[in-house]
Amino acid sequence: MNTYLVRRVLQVIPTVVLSTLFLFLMLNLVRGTAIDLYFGLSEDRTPEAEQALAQQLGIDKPLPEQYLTWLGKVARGDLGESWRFKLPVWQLISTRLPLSLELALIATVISCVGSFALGVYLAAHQNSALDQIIRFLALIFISAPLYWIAILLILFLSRSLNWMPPIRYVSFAQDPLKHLEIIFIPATLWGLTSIPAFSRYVRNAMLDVLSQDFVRTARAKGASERRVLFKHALRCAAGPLATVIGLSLAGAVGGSLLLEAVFTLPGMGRLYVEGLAQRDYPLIMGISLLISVTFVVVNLLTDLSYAWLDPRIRYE
Amino acid sequence: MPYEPWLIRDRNLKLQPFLAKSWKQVDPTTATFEIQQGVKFHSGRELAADDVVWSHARQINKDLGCAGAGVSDEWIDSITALDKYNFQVKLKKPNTFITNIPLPPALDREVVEKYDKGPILLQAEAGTGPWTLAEWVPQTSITFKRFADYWGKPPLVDEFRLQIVPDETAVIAAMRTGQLNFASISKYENYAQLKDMADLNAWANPGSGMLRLNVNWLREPMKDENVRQAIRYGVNRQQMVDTLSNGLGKNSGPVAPSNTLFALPQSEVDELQKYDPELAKQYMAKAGYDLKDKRLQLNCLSIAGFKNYTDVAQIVAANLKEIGIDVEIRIQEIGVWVDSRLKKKDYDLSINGYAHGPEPSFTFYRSDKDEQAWTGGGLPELDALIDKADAEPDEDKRKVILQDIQRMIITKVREVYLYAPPIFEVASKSFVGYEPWPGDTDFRVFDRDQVYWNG
Repeated sequence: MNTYLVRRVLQVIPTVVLSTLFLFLMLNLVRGTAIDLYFGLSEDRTPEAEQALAQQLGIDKPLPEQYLTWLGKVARGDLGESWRFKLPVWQLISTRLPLSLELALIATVISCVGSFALGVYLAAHQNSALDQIIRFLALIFISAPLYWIAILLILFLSRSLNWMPPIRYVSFAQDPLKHLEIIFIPATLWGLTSIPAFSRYVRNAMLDVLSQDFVRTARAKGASERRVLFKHALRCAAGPLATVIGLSLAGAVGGSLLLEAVFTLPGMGRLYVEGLAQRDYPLIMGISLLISVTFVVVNLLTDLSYAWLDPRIRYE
Repeated sequence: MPYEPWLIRDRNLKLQPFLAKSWKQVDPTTATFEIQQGVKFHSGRELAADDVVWSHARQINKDLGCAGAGVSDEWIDSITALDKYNFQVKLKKPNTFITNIPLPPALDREVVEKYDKGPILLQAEAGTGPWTLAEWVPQTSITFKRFADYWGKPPLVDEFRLQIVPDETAVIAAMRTGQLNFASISKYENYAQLKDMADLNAWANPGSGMLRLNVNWLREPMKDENVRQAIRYGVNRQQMVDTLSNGLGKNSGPVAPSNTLFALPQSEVDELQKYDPELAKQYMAKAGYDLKDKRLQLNCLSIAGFKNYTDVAQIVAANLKEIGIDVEIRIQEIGVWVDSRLKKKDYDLSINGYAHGPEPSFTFYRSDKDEQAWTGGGLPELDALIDKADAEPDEDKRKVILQDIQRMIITKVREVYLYAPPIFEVASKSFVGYEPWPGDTDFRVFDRDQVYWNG
């Protein structure tokens, strides 16, 4: 197990470096440069002005030099400065990331609790009326975009209750109650709309496990159905859901753009997408690096959790 | 706002002094300006002519790559301080549009020079306006507070905040629930949800901007005047007005109808840009195309997520289909769109927006400007008219020339002008004293119009 761990940890560095290199190359292949975005079609766009800006941004240098310079800074803990905001990338990320993680965490807790409870029940009552309803709802919520549901909800709330979540964001430290008022609805909506689909994962995994010999043995030995479901089967069935939840949490680092847009939340999604639109290379690279590291680490933790959840799995 | 203009237009579009107390056009290439005395920067220091000289030198410093540098460098030969409150501008070529002379901004030199890199104005207060920056939260909000030592009539509001709300549905909901007190709305269907609410005032006034089709004269089909004329008559502008703004916009030429000083009469614009598909088909036939076997294929760019550009493109495509032109709409991300227009030039038409200030400047259309290098379309006779307008000191005579310029741009199809959408604005009834400015949402109302909150 230790060998496995060390091997996986060592894989993090080349994986992250390769992914950032790939992204850097893609950024420079995309049409429309930072200079194009800055000047647009303005008559101010003279060759001298372009050169001055390119020098300021450091993009007048050859691509390998640009990438290696960035990598060298990262190795020293410096993600550089956003071209657009003229603020350190770390500072921008640190003001946005807590909100995105908070939203994702609350949504995940809600969806986990709901999914497990519902998934176990549906497995124990396969093909019941509720099972059919949840299957239908899962289809609806997979098909219906979350942002569309959010827009309808906002319109409904403002029309019928003359209320909507505050659009002026405050952090938990500034005003805990106001903060909760702001994030309660988007986080809950995100969590609740994930339950039908996640519960199907749990249900199907449970059904698979419940058909195993060891479960039959447990029942034959007189174990109660409750003990069979929760002590023996659930842990083994939790693996696939752990993967889905892990990846979902890792994705939170990139934010949820459309949810943030509808609820006017200053999260990572809007920061990232606007950075892309403005070709703000330091910001894009910094956030991408963070996402890359997060995915690799979460992937590792998810794999390790399999071993903890399912005693049959061991890593060499 | 924090930074102020030298001259302003009042509600009747008449020119009024502002930071510049008076001015004089000495000759077509020389103008002098007298600064208001007692104008203070936010640092407390008084604005003087030396600040203007410094600001100009900074603006044209090629190492800084400042916005406005190109225009300034093209027009201004020198700015000289005559004394503490007077400065002289020498132009490289004649221009009697006093407001079209690209004067540098009134910036506090001492504040700017404290910072060694830009954009300085995101970090510092270096203006003279009635508002100073209280807080800037990127992508979220900008809060302004009243400048206690303002030289002019102080605002009646202590503080206001510009809130960035990415989704217009949230704007609608926020106006309904009172979280926002004022909003400019882009789409009619959203405006319609608010316009009849009892506790809101709503306006749909003509704007100073218009939508148009950029024409790429460098592409073979667009070099043919018959094709361009076919497009001019084949587009149904009234359909755009009816569909996209519920009839509240107007057919527009190169100067929007809201510009009552210089725009062509509406009846003339309607005639020059009438929808006449039969005439359009005749032009297509002259160009060698027909409705069946020899249809013309064109592409039209639209910018993703940009206002209603793609809606407009769809109407254009539907109209031109009837006259034998099949239009492929290419929706491009803004960076790609800029690249298409500047570098690749792989497009025939592009939806775009444009707006003039109260004094329209057509210098942009001159043959030696960048626009020509991007998309061709140089017209020597147009250049001559533009030069004549720039040098004409008499306002009535200048109006005649400006209208001739507009006629030429339309009839030669330099661009295909479409329509001027209205500006939709809503405000809480407790937001007292606001009346829309002619042509655009203008945040100067927060100071000059003396709006206040009666909530």
